Amino acid sequence: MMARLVEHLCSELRLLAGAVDTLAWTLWPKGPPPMMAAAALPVPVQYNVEQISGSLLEDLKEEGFLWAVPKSRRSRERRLTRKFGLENKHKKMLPYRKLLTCDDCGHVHEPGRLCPNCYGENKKITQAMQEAMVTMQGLNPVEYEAVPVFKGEKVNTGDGFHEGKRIFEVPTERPKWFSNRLTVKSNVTTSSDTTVVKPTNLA
Amino acid sequence: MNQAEIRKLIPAVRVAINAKHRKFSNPKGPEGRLTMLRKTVTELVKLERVELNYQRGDEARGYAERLIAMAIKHGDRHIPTMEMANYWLTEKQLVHKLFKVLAVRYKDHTESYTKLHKAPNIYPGFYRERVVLELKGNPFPPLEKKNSSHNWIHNILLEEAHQDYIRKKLKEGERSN
Ligand SMILES: [Zn+2]
Repeated sequence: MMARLVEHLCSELRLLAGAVDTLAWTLWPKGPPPMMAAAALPVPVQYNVEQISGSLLEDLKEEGFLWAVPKSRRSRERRLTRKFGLENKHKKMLPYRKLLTCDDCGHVHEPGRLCPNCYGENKKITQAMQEAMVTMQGLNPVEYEAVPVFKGEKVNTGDGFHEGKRIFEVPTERPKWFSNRLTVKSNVTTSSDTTVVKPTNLA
Repeated sequence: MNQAEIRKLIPAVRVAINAKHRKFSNPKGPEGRLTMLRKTVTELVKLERVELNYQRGDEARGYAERLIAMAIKHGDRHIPTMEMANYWLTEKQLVHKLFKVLAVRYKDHTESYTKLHKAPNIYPGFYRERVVLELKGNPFPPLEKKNSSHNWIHNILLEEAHQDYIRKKLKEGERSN
């Protein structure tokens, strides 16, 4: 078994050696340069198996093939141009100045886009409202407009409707900025004898 | 002659639509693309405001507009419209919403029924442009505020100051008389 394997390996190596020889001949017809000498060494066919395999493999392991390497020094000018581009033509990393200040909160935002701060707050309350609305509607057919009632707001309805709109209760307080009138505090409940606080008209 | 009649059959979509649809390469092919868009349209009708990637939001917007326009024009006793609603809305309680809530809400509208806002780019991010697609007239807080309003605090104060000034002038006039 072992002997057959070694024999097989030997024949393979012989083929490889022949191939390398041919390659070297095609590349350098007048004879290979000294660094290729090891690879293109003509292998005598009659050699002992162990000797051939050992020597060839070790040679490859020690020296190997030498691939392409830089032939000349890259000048400083050239190196800097490659790194950073041409002085007059390249795109420099400049601070982004196309920004606007939000009229409501003072954070910066890109023109034509929502303000990240305002939108973040809006998103939070919108998600809470959507969750409440979807829970209220459930799998029943949706037949009426929905109107939010926030925590602390009182609406006296027997059937869960306000002016023909279905009420859904949001577990958070109404944010102060989400109000129709700036002069009225919307998220403050008056004393208990005032039973009805109308939800302000929204959006 | 014929063209005019055909045009009247289909309600006009009130938003700009690309001449060519987006392909949205999908392992299930065009059918998978439509499944994806149905999901988005259903979500929009259900939640009334959704955040999406720009390409998907813009593509779904046209389909939602068309669906609402058909519901307004033909009502719920028109078989093709009902089939469309059944196809596009995967959650069937929303078919009621389309005809009983949205069609009523937008009956007298002269503009588009949806609005597409550009969401802020978060740094550092993946730089996929995000948008917020919403149905108009939803119960949520508005995303974009009006440019100017008489409810603004400085406008209220200025108005009060103006009223004070007028009162003062009137009193002075009375005294002099
Ligand atoms: Zn802001």
